[in-house]
Amino acid sequence: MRRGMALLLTLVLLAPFLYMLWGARFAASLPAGLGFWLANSVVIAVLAASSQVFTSAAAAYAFARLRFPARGTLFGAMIALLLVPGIMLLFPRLTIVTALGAADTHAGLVSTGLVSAWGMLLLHQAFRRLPHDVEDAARLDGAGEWTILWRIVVPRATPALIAVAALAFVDQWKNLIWPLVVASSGVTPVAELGLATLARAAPTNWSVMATAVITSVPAVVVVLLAQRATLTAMGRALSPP
Amino acid sequence: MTSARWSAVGAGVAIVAAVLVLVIRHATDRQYQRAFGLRIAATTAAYLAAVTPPPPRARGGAYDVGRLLTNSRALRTLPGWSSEVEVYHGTAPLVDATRPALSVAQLTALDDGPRWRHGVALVPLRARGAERVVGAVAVRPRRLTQFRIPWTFPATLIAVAVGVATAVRRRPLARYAGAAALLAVAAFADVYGAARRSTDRWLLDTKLLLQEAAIRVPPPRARVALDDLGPVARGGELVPGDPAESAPRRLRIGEARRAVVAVLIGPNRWAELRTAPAEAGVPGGGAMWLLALATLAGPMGIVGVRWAERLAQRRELRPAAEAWGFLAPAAVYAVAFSLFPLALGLLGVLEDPRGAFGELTDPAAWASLGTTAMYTLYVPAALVVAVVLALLLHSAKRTPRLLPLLLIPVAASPAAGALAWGSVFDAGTGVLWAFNPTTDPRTALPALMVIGAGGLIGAQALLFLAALQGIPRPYIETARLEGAGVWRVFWRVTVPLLRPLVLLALVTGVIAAFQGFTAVYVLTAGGPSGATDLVLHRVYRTGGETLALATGALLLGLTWVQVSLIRKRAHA
Repeated sequence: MRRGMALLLTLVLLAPFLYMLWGARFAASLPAGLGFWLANSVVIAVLAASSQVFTSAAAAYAFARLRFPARGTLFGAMIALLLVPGIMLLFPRLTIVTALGAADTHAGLVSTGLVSAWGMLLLHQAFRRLPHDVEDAARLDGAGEWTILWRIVVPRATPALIAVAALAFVDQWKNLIWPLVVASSGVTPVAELGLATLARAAPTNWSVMATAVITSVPAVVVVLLAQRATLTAMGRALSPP
Repeated sequence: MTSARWSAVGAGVAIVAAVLVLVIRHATDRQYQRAFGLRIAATTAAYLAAVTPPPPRARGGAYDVGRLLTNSRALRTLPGWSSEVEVYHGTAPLVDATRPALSVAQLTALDDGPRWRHGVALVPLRARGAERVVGAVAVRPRRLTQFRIPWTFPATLIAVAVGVATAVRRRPLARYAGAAALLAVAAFADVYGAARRSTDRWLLDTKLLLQEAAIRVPPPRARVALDDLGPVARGGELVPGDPAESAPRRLRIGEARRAVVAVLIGPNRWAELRTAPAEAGVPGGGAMWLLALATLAGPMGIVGVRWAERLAQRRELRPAAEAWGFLAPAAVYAVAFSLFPLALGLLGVLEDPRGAFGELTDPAAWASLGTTAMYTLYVPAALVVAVVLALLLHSAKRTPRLLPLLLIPVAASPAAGALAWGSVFDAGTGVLWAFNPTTDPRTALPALMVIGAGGLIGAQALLFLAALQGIPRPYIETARLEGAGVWRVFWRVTVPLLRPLVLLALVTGVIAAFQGFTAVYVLTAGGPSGATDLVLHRVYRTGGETLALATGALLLGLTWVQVSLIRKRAHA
């Protein structure tokens, strides 16, 4: 009974997507620039994911393992700054990016996704749970903190790293408002922007549906591949110690 | 490092901070000088165009070269005229014929706009009534600060002396803070003065040009019409006026502040030249804020140096520097892409409060906020469903293998999700329901809420499931052994352990929903009749920066809750 109810709910949630998948067969044609959109999106999402893994790991390591003055304050300040609602920052960021001449470039597109509070948090929680013994041994052997982070701590927290990368990838993939304002000229169209523009013109059209299915595939694949690691990492990060 | 070296570092910081103020002030000065130079050069070009007649017959060329020569030379002997000026006909200098000619490239480049190089403003002289560049006017303005005591210099000396003494003698900071504040005030006074003088000087020089133009504008006549002088006074306005003293004054005309000067354009005929004063608003623009930061840098720097010294004495400086190095990439980003844009946005409001808040008086903006608040209600509803789903899955004997499929709605792009739901809404029309809910003002918002919930439930359920499975068995087993029933265990063990997580998901979800955009953009474009004009969509549509800031400020309360929840977890 319980399983049945869960199954029913799942089916309801998935129904529209199944309908879209079913209808995609009737697509007459695909938009000409689709490959270019996808390539741009992949470049940006991969850049964001690698940047977030790097910056989050470094910051999380400092907060989780190193002792330094004002640690708690800095942690709070950093999380708070990174969680400032994006709507406040939209236009000022656009001003900055335009002034730097990065509008309509990959750099401008990725600029809002380089660091994330959630990535930092996830890795912080993961690092905190690791036992200290190997690190202490390495420190006695004269290893520097940088070596310890990348050779000892990071390899033992792979689920969390995969989670951070996957979340960054999907976040960047799904972003619409930022590409809409910063890449308005269409020099570097991304998948979500292209799809939204297309869908606005003709919402219920099988070709648009097929485009939606195709532009969703990369993010869905990433999520499904990373789901076990992500859920493990999140479960660990959020459950009581 | 020895104590003496730390003192030297502190003194160095004080000196650098003071020099920084000087540099910024100097740059601001140059900026006003440049603005003045470009402006008066443009005015001069307009003057020459107005007073020089076309050549006698159609001999080619836009102006009578002989008259252009006379008029240009006359500028040099104009009593009271403040700048050095040169007029080029084509590339040839007229006022001082032995001066090097312009290059053709320089002249052609002027077509794109005026130039400022090495303290000289170069503006194009265009043919009357045409865009063609036929020559140029070069103006080298005199320093705006000449013969005035720049207040910044003595204040800088004081600030440096007090700062160095504070650093070396380990005095309390109060006196240095005072000196730095004095420096800030002096620098502000100088910038303000430069702004004011740039306006005054333009008024006085333009007045001279206008009075000259009144006699020279062809054809010769007894009374020149004000309208004929109008083009000379470009960038300002020329209106009939009353006799007044010759110095520029500041007046309030209607809502606006204006700098004015009286101009005698004929026997007993007075006009008034008006322009917006450069010192109104925030003088120096961004430079003022740089100045404020630079004056703060001194005392703050000494505080920092003292702190570093204390750390060094406790042998904590190296580890601290190392840790900060690890934080640096994220911290630099947080400052450059969060703090700085935030400040930039607030500055925008401060510079034009009237215009900024005018945006909020529009009832549609408030309606949009209300709609958005209503829209966010799907988040608690979706989370309840997600919790139920998670509990159902948790109590199932084995978890279904296809469970990860629940992640598809959250992984698929929001545009695709909106399309999928939109097509179901549309396809059901006539079969499952009577109309497409996104096209009716009463049902459009609920339809969008369904789409939002559909994207949220699956992933949250899996997350809650992960948390449920993470609850250590002994907690529950102990409770059961002590005779607690299923419901009791649920309320006393499961709920308290799950609550912080659900709360965090709720706050995060509401913040995200308040900035919902994609489904509206794709499906309804804010309609029908504004029923789904969510705030971010409105902000995007209208470029409403103040509305964006105000909405963000409303959300900051929730962000604070979010941050404190996170901190509680992180330090558990």
